Amino acid sequence: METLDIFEIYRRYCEIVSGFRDSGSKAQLIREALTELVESRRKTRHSITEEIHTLMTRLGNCLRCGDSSEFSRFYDFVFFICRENGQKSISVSRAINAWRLVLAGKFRLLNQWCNFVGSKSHRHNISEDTWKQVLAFSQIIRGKDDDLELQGYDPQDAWPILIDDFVEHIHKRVRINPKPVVDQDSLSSDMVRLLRLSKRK
Amino acid sequence: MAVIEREPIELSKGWEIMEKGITKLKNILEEKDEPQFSSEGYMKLYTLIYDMCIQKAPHDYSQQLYHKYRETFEEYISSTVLPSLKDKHDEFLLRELVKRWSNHKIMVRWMSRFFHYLDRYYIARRSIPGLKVVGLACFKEKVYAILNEKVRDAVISLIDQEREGVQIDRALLKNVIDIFVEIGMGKMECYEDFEAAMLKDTAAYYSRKSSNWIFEDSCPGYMLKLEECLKREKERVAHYLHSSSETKLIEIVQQELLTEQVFVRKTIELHDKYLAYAEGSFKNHSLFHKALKEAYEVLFNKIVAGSSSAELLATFCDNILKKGGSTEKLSDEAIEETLEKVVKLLAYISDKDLFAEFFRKKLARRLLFDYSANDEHERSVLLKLKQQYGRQYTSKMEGMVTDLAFARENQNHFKEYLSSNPHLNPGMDLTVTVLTTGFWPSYKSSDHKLPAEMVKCVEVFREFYQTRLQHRKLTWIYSLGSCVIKGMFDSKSLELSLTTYQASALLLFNESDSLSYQELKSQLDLSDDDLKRVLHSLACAKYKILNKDPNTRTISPTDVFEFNAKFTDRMRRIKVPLPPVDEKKEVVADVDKDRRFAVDASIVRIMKSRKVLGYQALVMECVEQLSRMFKPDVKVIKKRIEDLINREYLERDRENPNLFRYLA
Repeated sequence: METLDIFEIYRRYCEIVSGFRDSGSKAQLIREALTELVESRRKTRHSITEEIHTLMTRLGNCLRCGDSSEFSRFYDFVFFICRENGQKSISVSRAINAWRLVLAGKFRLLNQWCNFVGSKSHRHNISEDTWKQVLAFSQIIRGKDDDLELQGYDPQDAWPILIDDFVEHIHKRVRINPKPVVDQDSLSSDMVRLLRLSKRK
Repeated sequence: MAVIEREPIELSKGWEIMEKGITKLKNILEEKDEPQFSSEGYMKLYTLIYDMCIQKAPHDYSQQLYHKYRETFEEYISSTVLPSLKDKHDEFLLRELVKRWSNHKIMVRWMSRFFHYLDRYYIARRSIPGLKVVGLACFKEKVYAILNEKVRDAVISLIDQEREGVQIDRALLKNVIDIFVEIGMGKMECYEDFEAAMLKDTAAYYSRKSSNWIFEDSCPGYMLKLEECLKREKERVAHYLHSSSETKLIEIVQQELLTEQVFVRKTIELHDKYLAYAEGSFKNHSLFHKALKEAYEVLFNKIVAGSSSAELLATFCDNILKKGGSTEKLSDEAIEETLEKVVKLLAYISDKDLFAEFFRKKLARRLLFDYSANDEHERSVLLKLKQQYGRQYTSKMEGMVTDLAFARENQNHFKEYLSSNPHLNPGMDLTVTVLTTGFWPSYKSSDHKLPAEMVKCVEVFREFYQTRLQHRKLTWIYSLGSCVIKGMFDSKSLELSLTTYQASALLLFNESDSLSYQELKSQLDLSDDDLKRVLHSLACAKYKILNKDPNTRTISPTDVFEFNAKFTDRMRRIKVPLPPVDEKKEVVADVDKDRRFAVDASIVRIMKSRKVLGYQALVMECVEQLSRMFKPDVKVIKKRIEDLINREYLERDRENPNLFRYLA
């Protein structure tokens, strides 16, 4: 089998994916077509992370804008190329490395997210669906940097559990260290009682 | 300065003088007319000991004096203390004991003053037990060890008298309890021995009470009594027990008085009462039926004393259906009626699947160990459940009952087979119950190594089974087996009724006099958990058929065991109980697993018919579908959806991530 470099693999990947998508084929068929592609990378000496980095540099401007379809296709490709031995999901450590690389500057809670996923003694691998939804999540909470309420996020939506847990985790930390509006602790308990009494009146 | 060479004091000479002092001390203790020690008198004895310890060898008598010190106590105890306690009983025994203990402590105080020089040099240098410790230990070994059971019973009987309203001498009890604490010399083991017996008696006491009160009192009346009992037990701890006993005592009282028997019976009673109101006084108005339903739903989805209502109801049924259960006195009609009501109450429980699993586990025990009291009732309760909750709900349980009937038939065939092939007879009686996998709870089939005798049995049966059904695979579950073996003990032989594990452990001692834990483990091939349980039941529980070195109450991997030939019992046949593993966690885990399958199936069913569906709608339909059996957690549903996406049953819509598509 011929050995392809990462650029060629990416080019063919884009071809296959858009070709199948237009014809409305099943995910199954796409994957079969892609399996061969992944095999062709086997002999390279570089690590996945290095190769993604090279690819990113080359693609340069096309990827600058976070929600361009070009970027989202590249993002999906990263998941695809990170898979090992035809597995459907990728390991947590690999996913974190890749996220730190490709979402840098595009996901304002990237650091918290990676720490959370890494610390959580999260046994499960990252599935393709979760991977994709992380990009959607990063886009939806794009707002002011200090918005820890995560206003774009609706708990009623079908976010993957890992993301739900992450939001809960962020909220919990906000609750523990709230921005002090009135420093309750410094008020003596008598003052608090007085305040309550006056409110009741 | 000149050193005056003195003649050394001979041991016998010196001891003669010591003995006079000791006799004086004893006289003081016995309240004979004897003046107290003057400081001169005390100094004389102290100096004497000092002199006898600093003389050059061979006249250094430190070691001998150390022994004489102990012997003095031992002699006093056997000549005076024990005889004074021997013929006393109950309260009089306790009074005498308190007096003797307080005297003993005085004696230890004086003696250790006389012999003080030993503590400073001889004992310190050798790091052997000090004078105080030796003195107190004498009482523990010579008095407490002999009398503690008698004393313990006397204390417990006083406590029971107080529970019945008799005025007792609380100060006396407090003093006796203090002995248990003090004699441990920093360890609580003596008190804990007492405590264990006391708690056991408490449990028995309240279990008796509860079985009477349950029929005498109304639900509120019963609860008031319970509160009163809890208050009294707390007072009891404050007045004379050790504070560490409070939580344990309260727990026991609650456990005994708030059993599933009480809970279920009383809720049935209440339900009858309010149902009558709703039907009669309120003319069957739907509002009242609804209120009753809602109230019961809240009640039944609470956790009572650490158990879910599902578990309580299942245990309640088990108690009714098993031999020697608490309702043995009830008539068949009453039992039927009670079961009918339980099945109705079950409607209020959202975790019906949890009830089914607990019920099935208990049914399995009843069937396999022949605990079931009455076949008719078993079948009737299954029928009621089936009518109420559908065929699927009881299909496994019915399968179990049928299995057992087949097994009996099969056993007859096996007997015939053996009688027509006498050369195959393994030389002992063997009963095998063949079950269908799937109907029964899943049991561990470990690699346990059977003794050769039993291996032969297994082989014979395997061959027999092959002749009847060729393509069935038999898996042996030794953990459920039981055995009767004959133990040849020194005084007489006993029939021991054991589990297979216990029996195979004991049979190993036919070959070896003593076996270490590790040897037993490798020869039996049991997990540590199982082996510890088995060895505990044989060496540390009621019947000590094995001696264990060291003789402690827990099993450790460094222990060594040997057959206790001296063991005997007044019965001819004894059953050595092996406490069952707590199956609660297992049941809950099993139910969780089943729920995952149920949610999967439900999602697939829904998506198969809808093809495309929004996330919220999918969750709602799923909850709706499953609520007949349980109330699924939304997070669990979500997790299953994620899993189904991974397994490519579903996919997320490319444009709208809240929309799912079914992938055929």
